[in-house]
Amino acid sequence: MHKMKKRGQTEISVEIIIQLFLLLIVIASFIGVSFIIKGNKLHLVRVEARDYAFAFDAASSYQDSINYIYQPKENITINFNQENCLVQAKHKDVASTINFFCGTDKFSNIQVINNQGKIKITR
Amino acid sequence: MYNKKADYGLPIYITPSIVLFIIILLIFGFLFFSAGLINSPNLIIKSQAYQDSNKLLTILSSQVNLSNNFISIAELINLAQQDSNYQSKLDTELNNLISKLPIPSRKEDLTQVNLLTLSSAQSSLQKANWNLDIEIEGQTNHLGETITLGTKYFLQSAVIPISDNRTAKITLYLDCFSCSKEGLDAIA
Amino acid sequence: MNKKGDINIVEYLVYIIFIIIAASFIAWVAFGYLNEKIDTTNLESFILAKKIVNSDSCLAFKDDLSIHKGVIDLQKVDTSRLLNCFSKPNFGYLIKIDNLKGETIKSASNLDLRQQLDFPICKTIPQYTCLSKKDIILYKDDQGIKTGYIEVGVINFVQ
Repeated sequence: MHKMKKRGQTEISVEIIIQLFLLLIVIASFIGVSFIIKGNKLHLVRVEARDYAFAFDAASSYQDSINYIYQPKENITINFNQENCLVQAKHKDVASTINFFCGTDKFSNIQVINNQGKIKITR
Repeated sequence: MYNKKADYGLPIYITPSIVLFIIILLIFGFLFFSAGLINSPNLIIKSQAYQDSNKLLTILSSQVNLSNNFISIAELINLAQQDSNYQSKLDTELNNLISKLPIPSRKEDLTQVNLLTLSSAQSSLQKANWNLDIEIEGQTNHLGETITLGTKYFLQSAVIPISDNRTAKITLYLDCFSCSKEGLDAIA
Repeated sequence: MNKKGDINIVEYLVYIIFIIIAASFIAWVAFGYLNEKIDTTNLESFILAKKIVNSDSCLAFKDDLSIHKGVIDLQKVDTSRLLNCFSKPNFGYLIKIDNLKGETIKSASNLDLRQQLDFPICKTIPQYTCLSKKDIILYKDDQGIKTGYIEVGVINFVQ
């Protein structure tokens, strides 16, 4: 029997609610995933470790005097062991440390000074 | 409307919807996984962006034998400006050197692929040549063959002093059509 | 007969299956992106090649006047020099100096035994990234400075 709608009333069927809910699941999965990608701190740490290692390699190839200051990205600290050329990068919100090696040069006369987070590379 | 026996009661648009859904999944699946749209294109700097003029500097510093004296190409450029008799020697030496510059290998040389794939078709179309221009007071001497629809890679230039307080601007670049990334990486 | 207002379970089951496929697809693309390998071997090889050719610690020719960047001193081309001037764990390389005719004049490497064995078949081993580069350089021998090529072959263990 066809139900008469009174003027001013709207009828929201259960069907529409369920369909909207299912659509919401898809949208939520998309938004949730984009948040995971944006906040990928481990990726930033991996990039930072390599960035410093390559900067050090490039500086050590340069034969004349050099005075280069490397500023790590926000919230990332770099610990550099010049003897074995090991770069250790750590983000303050991430537990794990990322290691990356630069090229060890036994003849190098480069000095590296860590000054309040900034790293100064000089010859 | 009566549902016939064994009918699931699905709406009439269900079949085209399923087909559309599968097509969309296939298209995006291809875009993300096969065509590599998923890969961030600028994650690592491309070889073409390594701004380095070493090839040109090596050429300019290369020694040539001139009447049992060895001089550099840069000095020969200066000599050719003063005395046009040296111009043909300069052109010969420069053409020889730029023909010896490494060019991108074709994919079949790199991987010995014999299947007809997009990349093997691209590499079979590859044409690459190094080009060198010497510009002095607005006049340009061009060496090397340009390629139709080619793209310029590894553009490098140097300015050298020549006689009478003038300078010569020398530009070197690779003109290439359909060069593969691996081929360019190998000569960067 | 479906009465108006009744929920068709089968219809919603079909919808839910589609939703699960779509959501899984989105998640799969995202995790594929997150787990994308960052392989910097090409950049590392470039840095290695520049260091070898321009640095006095490596192969650059040095006389009383200066260090001649871009000119390789053939006398410096040996394994112990390479081991001391640029070494990195899991990163092995071999260097060949050729004349303009393509004939090898001198070569050296810092490959360990494992890398020496794996280098020729490197492309078949997924844990390695291998590549080779060739560039034009100058080299100094007994007769003076000549133009030639440097070929750098790299084997990098990237897992």
